[in-house]
Amino acid sequence: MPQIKKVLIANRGEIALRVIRACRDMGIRTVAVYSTADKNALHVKLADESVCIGPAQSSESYLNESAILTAALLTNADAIHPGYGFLSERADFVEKVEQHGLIWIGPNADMIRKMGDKVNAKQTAVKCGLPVVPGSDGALKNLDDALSWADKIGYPVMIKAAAGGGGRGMRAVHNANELKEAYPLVKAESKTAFGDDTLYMEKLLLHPRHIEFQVLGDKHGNVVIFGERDCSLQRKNQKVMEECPAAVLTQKQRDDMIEICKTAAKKMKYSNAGTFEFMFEDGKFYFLEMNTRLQVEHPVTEMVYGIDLVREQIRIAAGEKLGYTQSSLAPHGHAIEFRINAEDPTTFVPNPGTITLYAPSGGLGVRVDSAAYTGYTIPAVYDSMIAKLVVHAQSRPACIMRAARALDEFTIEGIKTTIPLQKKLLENSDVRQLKTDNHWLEGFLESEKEQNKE
Amino acid sequence: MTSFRATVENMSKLMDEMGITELDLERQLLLGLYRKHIHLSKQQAVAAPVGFVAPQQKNNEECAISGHALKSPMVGVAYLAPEPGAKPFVNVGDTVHVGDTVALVEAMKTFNPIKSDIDGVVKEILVTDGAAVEFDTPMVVIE
Repeated sequence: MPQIKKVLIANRGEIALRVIRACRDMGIRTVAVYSTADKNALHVKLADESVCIGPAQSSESYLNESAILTAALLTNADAIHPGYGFLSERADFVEKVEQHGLIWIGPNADMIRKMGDKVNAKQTAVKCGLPVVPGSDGALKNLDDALSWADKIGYPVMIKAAAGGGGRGMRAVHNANELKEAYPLVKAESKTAFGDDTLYMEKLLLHPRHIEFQVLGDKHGNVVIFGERDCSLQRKNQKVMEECPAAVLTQKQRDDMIEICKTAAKKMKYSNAGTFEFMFEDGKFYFLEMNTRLQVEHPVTEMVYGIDLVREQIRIAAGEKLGYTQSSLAPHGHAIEFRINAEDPTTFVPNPGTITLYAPSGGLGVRVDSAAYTGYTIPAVYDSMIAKLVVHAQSRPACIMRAARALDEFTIEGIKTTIPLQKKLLENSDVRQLKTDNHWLEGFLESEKEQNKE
Repeated sequence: MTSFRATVENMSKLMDEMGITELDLERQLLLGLYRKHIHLSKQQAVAAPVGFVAPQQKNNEECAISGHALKSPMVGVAYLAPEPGAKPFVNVGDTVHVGDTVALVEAMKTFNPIKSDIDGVVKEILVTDGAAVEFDTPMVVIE
């Protein structure tokens, strides 16, 4: 069994720190890599060794495969942890890492490749028994074909250009008349926009919630599924607040889904950490995508299950067995994570600068994952997330109370942060009573804007 | 004081192994923890086979360089001669012109020439042959 004695962390910010902490807890030495903009970053200070790999621009530093590999080889690291973002889902890089005799702390290249491609991922999901959004099996032949599919699927439906993306080449239709009208339009549109007028159809979900399940599998075929995270509060597809468990689910819905996910992950022979993401509407789940990496919101699962997911990732990468089964997982209480960004809380314009005072909240059930400190200057070139506040309590109501207290305590001066928005969300009765969906936050922000105008 | 004695003995052994003749040792009381800051003269520091220095030492290393420093454009291994045993690209005191190769940095089996971007005289060579260099590590000082 390969031993991991030194890990290079190919990332920055709070997640680099998160991995360094798990390594130190395990007695593993750490190597930080950094760009010239991160010379004074906390991950550089806390690692045993550090290597400057390039200039501020990510493409030349944190995405610079050869610089990171060279740094790993020169420091004699045994393994690379990618964190999230940057190189974490680049299958080619994973292969290079392994070709150089290093251990990749994450799923293998084949898995990343398979699930990274949307069409491929959906096919795999179907094969492994995961529920997917119902749609036409492949291309629509003509309008009559489209009409008969729509009857089968049930309105409303979405007609989409196979070559489309970014919101173009798609239209929602609510009945047969609308479909008759829209079909030739979308066809012509996709011909001009993408040079391909192949169309397909999918059921349109009107008010889905985002619910996801954490997977952990070892290299010996053992798999466990951790109970779900509700990440429905999103702005521009960016999660803002995440909870574990999803309080809208019944225990039966949860148990059934855990079983389905476990079977799927086993079939896929999934190894290391990953997440099945679903849309949830009217009691039904629809597969969205799989993330073949550690996720930003992993701490809420850790708090509820009392397990260190990064430590598990490292153990699994080293070839160890999980050592526990589904039935031995014991969820306890409720956890909420708040992403605190260096942004204006109303306009969301990034607000990098120097933090003149950083005093995070504390106390029982409060965890702050952050790489910020008093005097730290947030570089303008990277992500604006500067802290994750994670709150844990025995129940959701207790967790909301504690979260309000923790948000109140959290002091960051010198820059604008999204803490005021988080406070407002927590006070909102829709949020408290779970009357939200993936589009709720955008609507809420719109109405706030209107109110401010008056 | 026994731990101090052990430290000195270890250092002495390490210096023998690395062929270092001079070593400044400083002890600091930090949160009840003794931290060793080892200052090596620049030439000796890079001669150590350990590769990169620990971050807290790095700040101490950034001593003022007078003159125009040619820096490494990438993480890699520095070479001062075109091949092992060959004559070095430059020696201290040599005159160099814009575009002259003064060193190589190898990364992923690719050799990247480090070229002077000014005319001048080589004042100092800050790295040794085969040393690990980071992005932005000053390599050769031209004046």
